[in-house]
Amino acid sequence: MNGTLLFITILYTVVTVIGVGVYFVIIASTKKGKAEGGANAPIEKLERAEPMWAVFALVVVTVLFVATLGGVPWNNRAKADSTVDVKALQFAFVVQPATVKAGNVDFKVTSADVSHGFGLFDPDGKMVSQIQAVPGVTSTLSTKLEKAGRYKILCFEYCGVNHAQMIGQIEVTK
Amino acid sequence: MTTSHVLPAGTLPYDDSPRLDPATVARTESLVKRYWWTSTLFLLIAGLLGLVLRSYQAGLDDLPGNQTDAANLWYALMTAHGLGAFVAWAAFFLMGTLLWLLMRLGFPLRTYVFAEISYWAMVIGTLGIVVSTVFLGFAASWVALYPLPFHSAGQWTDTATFIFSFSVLLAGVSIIAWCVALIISVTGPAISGEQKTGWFGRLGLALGFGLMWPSRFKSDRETPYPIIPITVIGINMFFMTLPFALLLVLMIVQTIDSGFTTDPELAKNLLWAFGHPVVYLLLFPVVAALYYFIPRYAKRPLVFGKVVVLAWTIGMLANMFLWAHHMYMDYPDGSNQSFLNMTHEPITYLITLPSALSLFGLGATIYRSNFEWSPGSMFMVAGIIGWLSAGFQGVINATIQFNVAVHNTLWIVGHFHHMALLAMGMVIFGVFYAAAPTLLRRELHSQTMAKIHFWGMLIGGYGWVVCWLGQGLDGAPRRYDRLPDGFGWDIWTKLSIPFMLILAVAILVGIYNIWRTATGSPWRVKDPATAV
Repeated sequence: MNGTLLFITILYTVVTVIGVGVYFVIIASTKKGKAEGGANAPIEKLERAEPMWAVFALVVVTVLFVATLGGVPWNNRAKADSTVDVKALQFAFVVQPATVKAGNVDFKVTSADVSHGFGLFDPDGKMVSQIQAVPGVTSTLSTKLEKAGRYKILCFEYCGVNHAQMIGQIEVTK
Repeated sequence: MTTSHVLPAGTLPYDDSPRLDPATVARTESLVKRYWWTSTLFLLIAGLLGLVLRSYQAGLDDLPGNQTDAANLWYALMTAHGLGAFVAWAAFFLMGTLLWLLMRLGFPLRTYVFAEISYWAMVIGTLGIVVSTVFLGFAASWVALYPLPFHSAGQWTDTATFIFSFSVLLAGVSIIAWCVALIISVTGPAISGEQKTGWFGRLGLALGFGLMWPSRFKSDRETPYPIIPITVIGINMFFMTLPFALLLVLMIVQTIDSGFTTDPELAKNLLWAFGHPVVYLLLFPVVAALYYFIPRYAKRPLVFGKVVVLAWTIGMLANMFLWAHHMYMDYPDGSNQSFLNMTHEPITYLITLPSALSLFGLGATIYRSNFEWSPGSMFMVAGIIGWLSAGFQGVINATIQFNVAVHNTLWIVGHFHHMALLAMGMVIFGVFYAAAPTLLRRELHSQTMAKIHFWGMLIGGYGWVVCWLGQGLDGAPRRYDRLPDGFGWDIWTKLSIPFMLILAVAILVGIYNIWRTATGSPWRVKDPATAV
């Protein structure tokens, strides 16, 4: 699991436990509500809290938006040490050159037929990054390859009957 | 048998629906039952396909033919399963249910023509999808990402593409006709009484503007909260089905004239302009149902203020401009797609507002209430929790930095199955348990079976979905008939099988219970809503 995926796992788990936990408290409160005939719930207080809740939700997503702007791939390109041309076609990747040195690499990805996905996995099987390969145009994926070894390329957009067999590779040296 | 005008225990709780013309009730109920039974049949077929697909991935079954034939059949079944489960079951069931809800809220259909067109277009369209996929081998997935339908690698013909495109177009006609039926109903005289408000004024009332600006939007009757999401989805799907319909027409033209082509990026934008809003074709009707039933179970009005009305208007507008979050990984050099992607990220966040406020308001309504726990309410509250937990996944998917890691992985498959089955599906079954006694005039066949159905769906469903989420978080790509060796992903597939079987048995028990209820002895009682 790469760093981003690990962060997502922890973030999602924490937020879900809190959110679902609140709902369990709400469910448990109906026992008391039944005993009281539902008469003592703080309805007005809850109604007054609605605008605050809306503001809270907006603040959370605004913070998320700002905090993750640096991770937007097209805004986050380092100067490339090497460039690799990738042509995707049913059902193979043509990668030139087949070997690069570790460092910042720009993958220039295109497709000769249908939409494909360029999904890059490091020698340990962890996903590095991905981009769509669109027919007729070139898209640039800038990424840093630190580990030496054989990286696998999996097709990340369904492209037909042998989609699952569409696996390419690139060798990274120190 | 009781002969009282009061419905027996377990029926629609605390009904305060306006009194209705018995002929209107009978006709609407007959129509709704058709939607229910047909969509349930589609669920059985789509569910069976789902079992075959996952078992094949786990290596437990084989498909006929050589490896290529088997793989293409797997993808063809995947195509049929996606459309069958999402549109022909869930959406279709909810489309019928909303017609019933509208009636119960005092907004009966003003004409049945559009609802009938919607029903038959969906049935014929679904049959066409089955023919093109299962029998003609069309296997481009439900998104049929252009130009894949015309690059079949020898697996299907342009005739199959034509039938598939035309059939999906019919499903689109069904959705649009249904939207027209909704809009005509909610902008009818029921909302404005004697005020003689103009059509746009009545539309504003249906969107809840009268709750925010009572002096500008005058009405004899306060807009019931469920009418707001119903109106929003009617407007949204009317407009957002059109771009995909245009793409389908372009594809149909290409099947006739192979020299005619479309730009792939434009095609993808047209697809997703429909492809995300259609998710809300399930969610917003589910919210309307929750707005209707939860206060009845809690025996108090919804705990809402005015902000939720504003949030729905924001959500309606946002829903029409957020599709590019499905295209975050598309940013060709020199194109404007990256700019579009960037603008659609905050717009996507905005659509969390109606969800956040609804989850707050529904929770507040339940909090310390004298809540009636029954199969219907248990399914609905479980559906709310499913909506909350799947909704957080949606926020992750909407964030570009995170999307780079999860896009087109099995996390996405886990997310939409979580949302479709454990949020919206739970509420769909909750609606059945809550509404069926009233609609069918029959007592629920078995409370025990309903509980087996509930716990089986909960345990099986979450176990099954967590396996997909785990695979996705490990980087496993989606839409692979069999995952490649060497990544350790297969263990999750095998682990999911027992949970999938629990889920399947639970749903079968639920459907059997529904069937026995429908074929049981009718009550000799009158529904209070029709008692005159």
